[in-house]
Amino acid sequence: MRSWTTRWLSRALHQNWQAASATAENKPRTYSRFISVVSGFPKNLAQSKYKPGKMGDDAWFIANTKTADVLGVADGVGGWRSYGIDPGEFAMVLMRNCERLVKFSRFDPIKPVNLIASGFRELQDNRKCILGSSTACIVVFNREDSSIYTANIGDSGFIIVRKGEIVHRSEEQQHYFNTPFQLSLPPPGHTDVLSDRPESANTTTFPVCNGDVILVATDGVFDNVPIKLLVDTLQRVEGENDQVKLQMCANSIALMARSLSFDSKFLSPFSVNARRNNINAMGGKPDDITVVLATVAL
Amino acid sequence: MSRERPLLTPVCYAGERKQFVESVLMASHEYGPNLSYGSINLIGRPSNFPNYGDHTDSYLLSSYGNWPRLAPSYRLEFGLARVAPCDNPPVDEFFVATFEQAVYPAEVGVYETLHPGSIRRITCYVVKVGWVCLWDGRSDKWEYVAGDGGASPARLFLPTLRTVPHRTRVLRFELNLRDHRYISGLDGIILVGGVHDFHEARAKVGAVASAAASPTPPPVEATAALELIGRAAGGTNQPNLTDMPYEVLYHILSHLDWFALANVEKVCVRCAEVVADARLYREVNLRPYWDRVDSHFLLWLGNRCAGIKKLDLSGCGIVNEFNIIDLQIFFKRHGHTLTHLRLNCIGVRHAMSFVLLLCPELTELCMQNAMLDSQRYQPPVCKRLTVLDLSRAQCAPETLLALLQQNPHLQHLSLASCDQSSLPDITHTIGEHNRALLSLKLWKTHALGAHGLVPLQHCTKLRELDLGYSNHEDCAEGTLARLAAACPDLRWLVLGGFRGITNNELLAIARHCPRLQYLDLMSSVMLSGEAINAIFIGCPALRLLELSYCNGIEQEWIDMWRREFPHVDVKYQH
Repeated sequence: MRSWTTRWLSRALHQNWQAASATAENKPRTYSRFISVVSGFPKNLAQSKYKPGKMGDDAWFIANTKTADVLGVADGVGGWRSYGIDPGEFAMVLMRNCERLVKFSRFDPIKPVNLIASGFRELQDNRKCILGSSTACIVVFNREDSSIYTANIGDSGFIIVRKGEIVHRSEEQQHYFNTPFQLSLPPPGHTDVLSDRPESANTTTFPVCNGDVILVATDGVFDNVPIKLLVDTLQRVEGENDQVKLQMCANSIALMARSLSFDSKFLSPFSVNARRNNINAMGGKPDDITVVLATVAL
Repeated sequence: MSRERPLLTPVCYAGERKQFVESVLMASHEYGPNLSYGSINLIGRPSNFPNYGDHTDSYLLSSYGNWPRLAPSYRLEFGLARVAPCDNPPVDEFFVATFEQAVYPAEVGVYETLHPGSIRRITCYVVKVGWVCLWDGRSDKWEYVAGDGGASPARLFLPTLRTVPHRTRVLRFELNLRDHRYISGLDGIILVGGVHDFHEARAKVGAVASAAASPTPPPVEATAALELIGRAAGGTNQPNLTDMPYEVLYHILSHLDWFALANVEKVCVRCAEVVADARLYREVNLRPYWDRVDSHFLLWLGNRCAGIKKLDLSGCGIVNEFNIIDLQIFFKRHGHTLTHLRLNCIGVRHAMSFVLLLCPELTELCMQNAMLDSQRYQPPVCKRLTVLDLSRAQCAPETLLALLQQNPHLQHLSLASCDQSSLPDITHTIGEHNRALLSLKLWKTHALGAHGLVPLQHCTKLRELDLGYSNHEDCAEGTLARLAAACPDLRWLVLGGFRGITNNELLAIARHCPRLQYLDLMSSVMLSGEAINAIFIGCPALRLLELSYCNGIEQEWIDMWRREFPHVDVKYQH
């Protein structure tokens, strides 16, 4: 088990290191920016090959333009597997579409909901009929006014930590327990499928200060790691400009989530929530884990 | 077939730099209005090479073979009788790419990730000089690398360029897709060149010198008339060409193209008289001469072409060789006589605003890629249109509706890839006012609702119907079947990505449309083999059936159909 994790972590570190150096040379030296890293584990670590942008059924992207830095995660809904549909494909293509839209500057930094909506529309343009559903969370840093604009559908989310306190946090959108809001493209003929429009996303916007830590993650993290533990870990990298140290912190959050998810006796946030809904669930929730961690350098 | 590792990047010497595409000025073919498969994917590094396939982030050219010319909506070109065949080899599509820095071009590499071999000519634009040919392969025979379904591997295409002693940053690529058996795809373009002239440096290293062809365009082939004129130039006692009667001289000169006429005009006063005859300019097709059309030539033409009937300027003016004022002056003088006008993919995209006001006699209007902003609405004056092609155009909804309502004789209408917001209730208007339609294209408009097909039942003469990706919700059950019953003359039907096709609709098509030749059912996952089998039986004229990404059909059906119906080309990619 340990050899798998170290190999995985070193590969993720190398990948992100390459991506970081590539973006560093293309991007002009701007005054304010995100310093961002990614880490995570797919649920079936042994069976899956590492593919950049994908963590099992989750997908993520980090993209930069002259005016904005964008982080995004998407969590594919696993229930489609029983219909013969690959749940990770929808999330992956959605995130790749959003990344391309950002790369070609076909988006408005102030309206991240339109980015999700355009990425969703592009999904329907695919020659192959892509089916499935996923949640989505997009965080945009607008350089002009040094503010963050976010859009969130479903139970992925973000938290912002400043001086050891949570200053902003996304709300989970759920229809009922364990059924988050989701964008979906059901197979033709299935009309009774839960499908939320991109416009139903929660949007927030707020200014940021130098040194703020932003964590964007899927529910694999928020359901398994208690919030206090997360805040303590994030507090240690406040104001950190060194990408290596940031990567180490992201790796440790991912590893925490992974170990806790397989701990059957641990009272995770997921089991606390389940008990509130009269379901007797104990222990962590095994799930794909995606951690996108960024600090603001103004 | 040996698979060597594909060459990933061309050789680059010291002092040279590699550049990828910075922007695409114009592309004559786009798969749809969005980013997927569009020409914008040529920008930047290739995203997929050397992976072979139809990736969403590559540029896909979806017309192939002879099918576009066999479709009922195909309009023949006019004015080509006077264009020498060597000036007009077959060219289907083009696109113009710009790079960040102007360099002396040493190498141009095209990353082809699907069915290579579409590029036929590369020209570069040099400021104050014009378009210079870098590589011309238009008369080369295209080699088809064998393999079932065309399994050519991805390749980096590096043609041997001519030496061009100029710096350039704008390249135009012309493509010929007539020999292709399926769609082709490009992932990116790389330009290798130096800021300083590199020929000595490369020769020293021992690289193969490029073919030393002159950078000027190839001379016009000497026709019999020019030879006669040449011979008549020498000797004063011999009978002169110009002594001939006016009609004979006119008849001789009527075989020349317009740039040759501009040269003949300079010979003598008599020649200039004949060249000024307006009858020589009734049908002018400048598409093969896109590299020589500029505002000076437009003015020259405008001074001579009174009474012009047909004009084709497609593909001209991409780098602002002429501007909107030149066009406006031309149309103010001659728009009132024009009956056929083609301005597809010209550099001046806003010409639609005055064309629609200055040309009342138009019967054919093709303005692909044009733009019309909806600032001030002015009613269009065209009332006799039979052909209207506004693919990929951005047209204000009031103008479009007015055009459709005023032209009841419309036979060919194309609104492919038009923005959905400019097409409110479009089928209702078409069903009311344009019942003489023979072909209708609504590809990727996403404009139809569940009952959008119902008004089209009035257009009973339809022969071609393109409904690919044209609805935003599943069509109501039975509407497609009723439409098929109402249009028994259907020959060309595109239903790729059309939401809500079921087996019953297909059985209805098989029953009611016996003349069907071309059927596209891409990504219709609900269909099963039995229903498609009914199509084979019910439509004996079928020649192409597109079934890519139809996951409900097993491979055995495909093999059986290819065996039993060898005259039908069955495409199946999954």
